[in-house]
Amino acid sequence: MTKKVIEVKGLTKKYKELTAVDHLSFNVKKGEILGLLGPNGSGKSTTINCILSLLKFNEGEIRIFDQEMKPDALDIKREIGVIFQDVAVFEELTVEENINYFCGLYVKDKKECQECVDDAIELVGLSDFRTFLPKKLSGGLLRRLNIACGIAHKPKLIFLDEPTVAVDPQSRNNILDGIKKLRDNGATIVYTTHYMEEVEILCDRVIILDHGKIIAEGTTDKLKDLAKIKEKITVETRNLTPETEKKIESLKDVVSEKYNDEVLVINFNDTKKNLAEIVNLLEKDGIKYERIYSERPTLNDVFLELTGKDLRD
Amino acid sequence: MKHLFYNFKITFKNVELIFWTFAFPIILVTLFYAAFSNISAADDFVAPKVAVIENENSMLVPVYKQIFEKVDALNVSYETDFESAKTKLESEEIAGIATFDDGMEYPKLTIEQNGINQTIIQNIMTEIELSIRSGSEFDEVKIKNTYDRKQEVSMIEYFTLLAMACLYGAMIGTKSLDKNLANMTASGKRIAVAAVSKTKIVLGSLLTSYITQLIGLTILFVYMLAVLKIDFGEHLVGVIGLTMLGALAGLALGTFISAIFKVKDSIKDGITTGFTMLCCFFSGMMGPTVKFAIDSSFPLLNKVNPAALLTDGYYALTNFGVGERFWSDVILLVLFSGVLSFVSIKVLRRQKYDNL
Repeated sequence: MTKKVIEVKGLTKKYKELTAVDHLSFNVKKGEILGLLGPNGSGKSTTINCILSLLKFNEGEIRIFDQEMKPDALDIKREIGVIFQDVAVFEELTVEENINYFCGLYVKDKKECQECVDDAIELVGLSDFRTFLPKKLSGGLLRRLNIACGIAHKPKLIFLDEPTVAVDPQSRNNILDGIKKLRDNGATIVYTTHYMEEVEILCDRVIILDHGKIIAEGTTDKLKDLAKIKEKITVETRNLTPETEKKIESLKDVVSEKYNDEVLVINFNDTKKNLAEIVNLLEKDGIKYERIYSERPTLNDVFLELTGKDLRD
Repeated sequence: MKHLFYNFKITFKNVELIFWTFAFPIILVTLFYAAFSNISAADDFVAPKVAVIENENSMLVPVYKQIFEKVDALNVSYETDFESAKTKLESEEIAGIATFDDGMEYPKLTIEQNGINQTIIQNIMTEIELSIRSGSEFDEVKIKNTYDRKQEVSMIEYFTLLAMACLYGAMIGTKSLDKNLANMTASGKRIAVAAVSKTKIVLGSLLTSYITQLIGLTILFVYMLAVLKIDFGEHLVGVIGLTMLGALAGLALGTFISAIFKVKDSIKDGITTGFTMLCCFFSGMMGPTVKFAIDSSFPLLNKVNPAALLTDGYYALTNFGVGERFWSDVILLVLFSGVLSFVSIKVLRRQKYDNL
């Protein structure tokens, strides 16, 4: 049986009348990357802050490494690394000094600490910027420094709260590679992001939160199966007539269709011969098109269907 | 040790903080020095005029009359009618009126303006009062000569400036503590989840702040003593000791503001600066008569005002030595620091965030 690294049971956090987290229960297994998704205000950050004992909560139980998590549980905290959404570094210290400062809060031995700092700098690709002050770094490099400060002490459990926000593609790839390396080295990771492609690349399992509750949970493939929409066909055409659009709408298995900006999107609840059927209908009505293609629903479609909101809302 | 080193580096690289706590007091003392250098020469001194209202029922009048005869720093005239003296005061013929009402233990001083002459009158009256209270015979009462009087006025301003420099340490304390608080800074959030005792981290930060403050005050002292040649008299060690206690009071104030006020960094800075300046104003930074007015009308206010306690402590030390008045100021300062520190520790120990 896979060991549970985090066990959350009945977690409830209220801000006066507002219930931010509502009887939330879930586990995180050793070595997995769990994606925590949800629109803004869904309770992701509150959940993480409760798990980390930064926030007091109204009800529930949180256990990490099979021990109750408390603010003074230093043995547990020693094994945890956190990368917050806001960059948490000192402007007055250099890249190396910042990592050394935060790593030193966990690793007391000077030599061991320096080795950890060197490894972290290499992992996030900041070797050429060791003596730079944070204000001299680009947004992407600053995010990498933020990550290095959180993981330099080689934690077994890592929380990453939207680590790639406002990051250039090169830095994003670097960060994602770094996260994969951390997982390969045995770390368990809880990952929140607004980028679905990152979830699809990284996460073994996903929990979708809305209004402080879990509304879906599973692997990305399992979540996609939950969606009513099984196939999405997109047609780029300039001369779609209302009559043809009506015919498409009345086809069997069509859940919805939308023609906007010369792009027709048709959603089906089945995957049988939909593309051939649409091609035939368009040709029969003499509708010309530039491109036509079929897709499986993305995680973003699932998210939209479940929460009624786009992930970036 | 590594964290103390980094704490120092973070503090000393904060240009704004270092300007207000290190450079600003030096700039201000230089301006004070330039302003007072003109009034310190003895040759242009004219003893301020004070009218004493005669009262046959007061036992104090003859005592004070004898003392006034020995005081060349005051030009005393005697009046029988307060209203006519008031008219003279309003027309600036005299600088103050001393009245000896029936049953009053000590005379009441009335002044109209805030200036050097008024300060001199107040200080001499205070000295006479203290000497009588301490049981000294009136011919033993030592009233300083005119030259010392003029020096004294500038010294009071320097004392309020030292008090300000001590209390400006609150800024260092606030900044230092804020960086460890999860609801104030991102770095605080990171430190809050780290495997380290919060007490150790906070104490380390406060130690760094105190040492930084002492470095700043040492530079200020060296500048005042070596460059401006300001003479703190024979009780220099006491002055330094009181300054160290003042720095502690400043640190306690900063810790208190940081722990109690859940507001933005810039608002905390505003509270710290505003409170410090108000304390310094009440202690006589903009003119010693303000302190006198507060002492006369709301005596309790300056008993809880750290700047007034420091200024009074310096004054007592340099004029009367280590005595009852000095120790009273020291005890009140220790109480001020102790109460603020106690409340801050209570708040910080119980702090578990409701929201971040």
